[in-house]
Amino acid sequence: MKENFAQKISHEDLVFMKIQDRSPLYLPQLKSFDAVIIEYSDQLATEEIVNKIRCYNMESVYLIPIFVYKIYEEESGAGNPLIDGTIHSLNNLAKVAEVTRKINNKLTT
Amino acid sequence: MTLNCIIVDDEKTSRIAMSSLVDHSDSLNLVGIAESGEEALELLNEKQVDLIFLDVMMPSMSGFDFLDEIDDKNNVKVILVTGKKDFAVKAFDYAISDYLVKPVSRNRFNESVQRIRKSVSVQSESDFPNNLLLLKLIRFMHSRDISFIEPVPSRKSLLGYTYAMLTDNLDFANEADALDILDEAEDNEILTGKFVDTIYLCNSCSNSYLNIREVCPNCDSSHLVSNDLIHHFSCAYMGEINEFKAAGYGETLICPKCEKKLKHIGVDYDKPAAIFNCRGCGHSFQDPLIRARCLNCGADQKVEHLVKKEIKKYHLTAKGKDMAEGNHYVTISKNGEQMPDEGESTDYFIRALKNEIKRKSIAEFDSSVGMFRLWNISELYQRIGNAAKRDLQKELQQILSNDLAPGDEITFWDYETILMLFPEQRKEAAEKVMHKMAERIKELIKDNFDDFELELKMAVLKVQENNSYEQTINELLEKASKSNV
Repeated sequence: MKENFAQKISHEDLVFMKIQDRSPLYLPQLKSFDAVIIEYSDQLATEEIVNKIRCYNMESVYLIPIFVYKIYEEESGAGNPLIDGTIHSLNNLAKVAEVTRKINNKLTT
Repeated sequence: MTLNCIIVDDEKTSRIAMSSLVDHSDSLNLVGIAESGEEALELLNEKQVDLIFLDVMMPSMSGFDFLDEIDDKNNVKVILVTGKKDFAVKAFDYAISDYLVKPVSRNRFNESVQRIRKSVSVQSESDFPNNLLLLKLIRFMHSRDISFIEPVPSRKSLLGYTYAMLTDNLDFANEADALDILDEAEDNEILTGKFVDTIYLCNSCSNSYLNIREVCPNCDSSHLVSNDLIHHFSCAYMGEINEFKAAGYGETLICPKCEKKLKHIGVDYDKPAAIFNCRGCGHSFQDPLIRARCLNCGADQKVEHLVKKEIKKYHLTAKGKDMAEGNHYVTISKNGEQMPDEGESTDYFIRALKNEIKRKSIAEFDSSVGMFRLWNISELYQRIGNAAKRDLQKELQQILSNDLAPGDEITFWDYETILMLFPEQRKEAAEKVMHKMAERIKELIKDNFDDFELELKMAVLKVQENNSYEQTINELLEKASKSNV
């Protein structure tokens, strides 16, 4: 296994993986998580990692809910249609959990 | 058919030996080498892989552990490559395609690859990348309750528009495949499209980033200067505005013929047209050609030869939702550059020709075989691009088939060579038919491409019982190259 830059965040019955947009990521490990939270530092780096996940051929990886964690709100023009939401704090993950459950329910039915 | 393969082995010597075997095989294309199961998993999910040469004994993840991790084993064939024979039974449980014991002999390797190649070629179309991409798209839409997938304008995209999940999964050069996938999905009622925009694409690389400009019809230079043409009513003199300016002073216009001052447009004079002067060759003309230079591949083409496409936004239908939920599966056909009757029809033609040669040795009758060579057609293909090239070939095949009798055979040997077999027809009769066909080919080209003159070559031979089919075709090629229709 490659060096792991990921952080595990538990919220109720869900487990999220938090990674930084510039960190290397071993994609198959995503399948054990309910969603992934990408900490934003750079537009290009975030886009690149989102694309990498969505282009992966394993269904449990390419369909995983993706959230972008931005500390500061920025004007970024049109939203990225490949992500499922943007959050500005890790203290309240209720919204992330709600969207994740909705998507995962759709995928299991 | 070439299979994309990867080699997974922790031993360097084995990796080198296997890659040498793969390099010498025409049926294989090596897309990656992994030193561990983990690396192989990444490769497998990033590349389009048809075949894996998998070592069993690897330190962190064994070959069988790796197989346990693969999502869908049916999409990829696996050949186990190991130093021990002990894993044969377990390999059987894993439905492994073949089992090679190190050191692997070239013969055993080739035999195994050929077997896999045959099984892959008859595999369901559902495994073609376009089907997988469509499934990815609709699963994504369905899981997110996205009712419309909208085209997003993007300067970075080949088409100038991107479709989320679809364009992202395609290489830049293949982004136009997204439109084929969406068209097919619409035809199969998985998606319904609503018009958004029309785009024009380069006919050679499908890029939409084009420099469209006026060029000189004489030398193709875009270094043009245009001037208004002035018609002076009172003396009926017509000339370029510069002549009127030269005869006057400042912006005042004086007619160089009658020396009267031109005061009011519509009263004294009008500007019926513009005239272009080419700075390259000095040619003056009123109707410049409009050409488009592709800023991706550099191809310079007439705007009439650009590929017109509709950009739509797509809605997931009830049938599409059903497919997204896995209730049924719709396969879309494999797209790509294919000759009208590529593959099987050529094989069939060869079999028919071989049979005819054999029949000739046991019975007394005359059969003929003919060939057309569209000698300079590649110049036209280059000009009109791949999509129009395929349409032209389809049309050629269609009009030629109309003149054939039942039992005659026709095939495109390559993009410029057409072969025909006339069983039990004398050479003279076959020649007559082919002359008629030659007229039709020339007419078709002339009607559609008035600035291109086709050099057509033709040959007809009697089928000889003592010639092999290769000799027959070679003789036709030689004879045709010396002919002219």
